[in-house]
Amino acid sequence: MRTVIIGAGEVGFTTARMLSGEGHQVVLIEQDEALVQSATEQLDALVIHGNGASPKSLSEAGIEKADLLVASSNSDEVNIIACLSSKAQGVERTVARIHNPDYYDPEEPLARDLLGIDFVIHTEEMAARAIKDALMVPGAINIDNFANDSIEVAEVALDEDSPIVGQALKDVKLPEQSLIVGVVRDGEALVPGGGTVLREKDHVLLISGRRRLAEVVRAAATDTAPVKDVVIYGGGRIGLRLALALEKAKMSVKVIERSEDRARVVASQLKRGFVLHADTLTEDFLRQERVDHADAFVAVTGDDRANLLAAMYAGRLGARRTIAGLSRGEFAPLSEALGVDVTISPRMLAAEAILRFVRKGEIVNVALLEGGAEMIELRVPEKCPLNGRPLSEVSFPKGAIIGALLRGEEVIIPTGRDSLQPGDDAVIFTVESAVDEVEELFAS
Amino acid sequence: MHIKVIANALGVVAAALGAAMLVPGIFAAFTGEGNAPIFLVPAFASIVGGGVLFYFTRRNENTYVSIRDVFLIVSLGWIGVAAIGSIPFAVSGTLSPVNAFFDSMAGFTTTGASTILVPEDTAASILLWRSMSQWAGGIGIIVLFVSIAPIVGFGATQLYSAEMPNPTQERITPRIQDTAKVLTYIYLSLTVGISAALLLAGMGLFDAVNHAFTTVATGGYSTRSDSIAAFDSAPIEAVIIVGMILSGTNFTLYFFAAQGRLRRAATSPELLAYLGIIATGALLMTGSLYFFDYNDSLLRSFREALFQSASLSSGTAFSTADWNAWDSFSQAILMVLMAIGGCAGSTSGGIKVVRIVLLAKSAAQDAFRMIHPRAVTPLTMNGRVVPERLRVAFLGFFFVYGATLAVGTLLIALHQVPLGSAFGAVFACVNITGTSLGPVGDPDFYAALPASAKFILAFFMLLGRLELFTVLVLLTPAFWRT
Repeated sequence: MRTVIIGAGEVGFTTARMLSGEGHQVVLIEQDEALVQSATEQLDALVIHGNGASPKSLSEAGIEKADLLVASSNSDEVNIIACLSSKAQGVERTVARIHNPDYYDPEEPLARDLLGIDFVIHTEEMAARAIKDALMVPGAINIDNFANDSIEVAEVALDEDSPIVGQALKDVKLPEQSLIVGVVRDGEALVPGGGTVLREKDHVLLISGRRRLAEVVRAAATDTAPVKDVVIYGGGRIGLRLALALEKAKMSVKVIERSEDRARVVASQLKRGFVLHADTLTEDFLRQERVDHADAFVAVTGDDRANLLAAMYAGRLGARRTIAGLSRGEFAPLSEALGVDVTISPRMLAAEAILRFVRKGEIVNVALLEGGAEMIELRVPEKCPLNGRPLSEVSFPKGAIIGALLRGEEVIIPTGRDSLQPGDDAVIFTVESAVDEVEELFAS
Repeated sequence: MHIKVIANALGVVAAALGAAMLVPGIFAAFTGEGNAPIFLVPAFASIVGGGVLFYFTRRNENTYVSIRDVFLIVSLGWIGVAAIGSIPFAVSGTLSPVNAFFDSMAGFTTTGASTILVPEDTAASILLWRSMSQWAGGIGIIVLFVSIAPIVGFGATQLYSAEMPNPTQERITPRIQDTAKVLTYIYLSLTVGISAALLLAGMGLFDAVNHAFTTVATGGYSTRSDSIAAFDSAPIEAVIIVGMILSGTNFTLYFFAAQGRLRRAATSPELLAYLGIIATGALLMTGSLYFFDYNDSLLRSFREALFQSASLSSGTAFSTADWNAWDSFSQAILMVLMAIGGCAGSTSGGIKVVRIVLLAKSAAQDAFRMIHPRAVTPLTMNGRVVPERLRVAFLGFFFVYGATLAVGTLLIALHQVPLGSAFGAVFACVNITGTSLGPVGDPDFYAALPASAKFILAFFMLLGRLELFTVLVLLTPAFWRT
């Protein structure tokens, strides 16, 4: 399959790497010479230096032979033009990243049809949603939804006080119909066996049916008091969306914004929450506004460094949970050392969404995890070799495990006695090396 | 300043006033009471004079109307109209020339103060003219504040400027004429509606028309000394209550309703606050009147409280009870209702509900910022941000309102009027109710004042009617500097 990607920035680059890893022929078009250089060096893809909106660059990239266009440049207009002209040249599917809500309204598909975009990636919207999900399940640092939101997976970072640290997996007591499906230890994903002993700093993945997740997380995490007071640093696109969403969820919200004009815009849209204008975060100011007593501090300015430092600062003062938005991968490894509880990467979210869209048909849903692991949701085909036999008797790929099944309306957390049936949706945890094997097994 | 433009506009106003004066003239001719000439002569003079003035100053397409012109036209227009309108009162011998001017100004500003001692002894045509002066003043205010002020940028209705159909700056355009036309239809419909309802409720035709005129203008002139109490009829009171409340509502909302945007009109925060204030005032006074033994019937207390609440909130000052005998708490509520007034863009007076709502919000934000010094608190109204300039303007208005009351009280007290009455008279005029507590409001009180005090009060009626700054700006040196 030939895919043309516009923009070799964070989103374009990550998407290109994932798609070429899955065997797509990837052509990248990038305007910035330095990015062209680094993409050429690091990717197994053809990188063209040029303007993604220009028909000439597109035809140079072989757009007429492509089945998929991913327009992920920073300019909405370039992305839209690229989608329009690719559609005109017969490209079957187009994905575009759009920032400006003027062009994108989830409730108004007409604009989408007119602009020739099959799937809109709205990174700010996704980031705001991901942060809100993490705040709604206290204790978890990340939440993913599967099977139309009826199955949920939570990622919990274990600290020394966690009730399950030091226990072997077979001794861990979790509420019924839930499971530890995977463990990420020192950046490496592994499928735990009954004898795996959980350690401090492990990230465990808990799976369960909807609305029970908070209860399951409580069994594994230490700090699970509900989040009520949230301080958001940065009233940009993510910050404003998040503030409005949290207000809707009846949380009390304070937004700290550096630009006075922007602060006024945000303030005029909030109902109960309010906005503080501050150029610098001084300790005095943070204490005045009781950031030290906040349940959560979310730093989502456009500046990664500022986000990390502010989150760390708030954490030191006593904010219960700290979340930092990181638009680039650069500093992500530092977050743990800085004591930042959760980092949200709009770039990864966008790549995830694109992957989900590209794989549609074979794969229902996918979530990318640390250490290259994935949670994937697959439809069990008629002729799957595993069908009908108890799971304890079939040979499942090493490095993968079935976490949950959706059969009709019913969510099943399978044991060795359960078996797969055609039409089930299986949510599977798999380490990077086993992804292909799993997908092959479920190929129809 | 463009003298030609100003003269032209004043010509139109004079001609329109003359046309209005034909009505009592013709009425007098039909009833044969002999007053026809005192209306018809000045009416024709006014029409011809205004027409000539208009003709010789008529403008071409490019005539430019500046903001200063508008302010001068408005103030001079009201003073001129009051002067011409006083002629029938004076010539008929009903009133002395000074009293005639005072009454005429009270009429055209819809204040409703009067020096006519016993309406029942006054010729019907004079009473009709008195009611008509309020009615004409009312439509003038509606057109001025709903279609012109938001565009030029004065008065509380500038809050609504973004919602009015014409964003053009500084120009009197055909669009304004369209708006004015629609407003006139709305005003006429209200008048006809109230007249018909009063007829159905059992009032005679002459009384019904007069009271409809002064209700829709929230002016409050009655054909009876005892005002609405003279009719002692629950249906009539009900009609007048509804009429006063409707007339104290922002006419922009009727505009929306006429455009089919009913939801938008019905959910206006100003309207809801206005209705809330009337209801709260009525309930508090009902309780107070009952418990402090002014009335021994709860129902009667409610009936009187609701009427007085609607009457003084809208600045109409019709009465169905002698509130001078009421308990202090109820009287205090009446004073507060008078000061708050009705909605912006209505014929009512006072500070205006929208200003009160925003001033209260602004004060709450000030207190909030004491605790959160860095908080950014834009003032919002109906989901839209009120420009900071307007917040400052409203705070300034409130200061000038207080200062006006103080200066006015000083000036009237200078005439050795008892202090309470001096304040009451200024309060009544600035809030355009015409009535206040104590003796203020009785025609004999106003009639007994020295001539200079009457002129001062007439000036304060104009100030209150045109929302202070519109007139006060004429007194600043900057206005006259070129």
